[in-house]
Amino acid sequence: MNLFQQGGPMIWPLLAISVAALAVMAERFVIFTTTRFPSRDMLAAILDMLLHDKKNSALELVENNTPFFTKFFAALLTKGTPRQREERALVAGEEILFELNRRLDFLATTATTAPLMGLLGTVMGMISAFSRLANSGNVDITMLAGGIWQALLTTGAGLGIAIPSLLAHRWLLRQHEKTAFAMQQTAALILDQIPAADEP
Amino acid sequence: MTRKPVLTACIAFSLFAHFLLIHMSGPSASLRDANQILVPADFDVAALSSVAPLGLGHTVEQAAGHDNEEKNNPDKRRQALRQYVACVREAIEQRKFQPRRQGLENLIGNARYVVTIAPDGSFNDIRLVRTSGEALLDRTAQLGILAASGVVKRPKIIGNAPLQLSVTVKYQHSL
Repeated sequence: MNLFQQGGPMIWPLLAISVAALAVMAERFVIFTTTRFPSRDMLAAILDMLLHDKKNSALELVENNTPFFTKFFAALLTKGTPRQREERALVAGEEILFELNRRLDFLATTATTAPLMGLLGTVMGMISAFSRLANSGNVDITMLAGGIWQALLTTGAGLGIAIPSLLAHRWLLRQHEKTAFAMQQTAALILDQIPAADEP
Repeated sequence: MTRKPVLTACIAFSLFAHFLLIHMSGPSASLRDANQILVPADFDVAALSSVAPLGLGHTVEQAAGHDNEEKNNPDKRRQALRQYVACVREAIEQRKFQPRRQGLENLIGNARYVVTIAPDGSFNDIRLVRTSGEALLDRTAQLGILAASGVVKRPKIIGNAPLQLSVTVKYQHSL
């Protein structure tokens, strides 16, 4: 408890941000790892079923393995012209991507704000240390060093929060982009291979 | 998709991880013993030589005598601490050639030790933090520090907390 008690008032908001950031990182990690886009083999199987006019089986396969993307595939396989299906798939895809993108902004904000909050804590600590030093009228290196290391605790804490947040944000953003690209490619492939679809 | 339970579980996990982090924090020795007094390493021994050892002893004793009234005076406490540290360093300096001066004529080096001073003035936990580069000098310095253990009595004004002191024992051609 010592480090936190000695870190000054800014350590507590940093602690709150840290708790939230770790929770978001863990939650997003779970979501991204459990909602993977259908693999290449599975897409080949889906395409094969679609070519053999087994749309219900294809949708069932998607629902069983990657239920998160069922809406997207259903939109691609609805009745209508390729243009209409593309538009529906676009709406469904955007909805899925929005869902995946949730709370990523929070991580980006945390990665930016945490070092600044830490720096603010350090500045506040330095002001306090120098103020005490000035009031004591006696230059004591231990008093100054004590004040400085305590003040630097918040900068350390801020950086300790920001670095994992930034790394997690970049990784999650990359996964998001990969999913978006895979959806785009799949939509183009299905619309190209199955130009006209009946209601499944 | 059951998003809310996932988020709730992650918040619980995060709270638990931070709880552990808070209780595991404070690995350094200085934090483990909050009462321990740390004396800076660059507290120059040379600057203290102007103060006569006997005079220092008197001052320390006087400070101890006025323990009750001065306990809350940080300036006097700091002053007593400085004087005490000066006495300890002086005592080590006077005993730095242990067991004898012979054999050190051609050696130069500075050995830095960290010692923890107990309430009775004895030295515990003598650790070499920077070697002089010569095992003989390091050993001689350690023996010198041991010889100075308990020689200087701690003034009451600085309290009974363990006092961690960094001492650099300097050797230049057996000087």
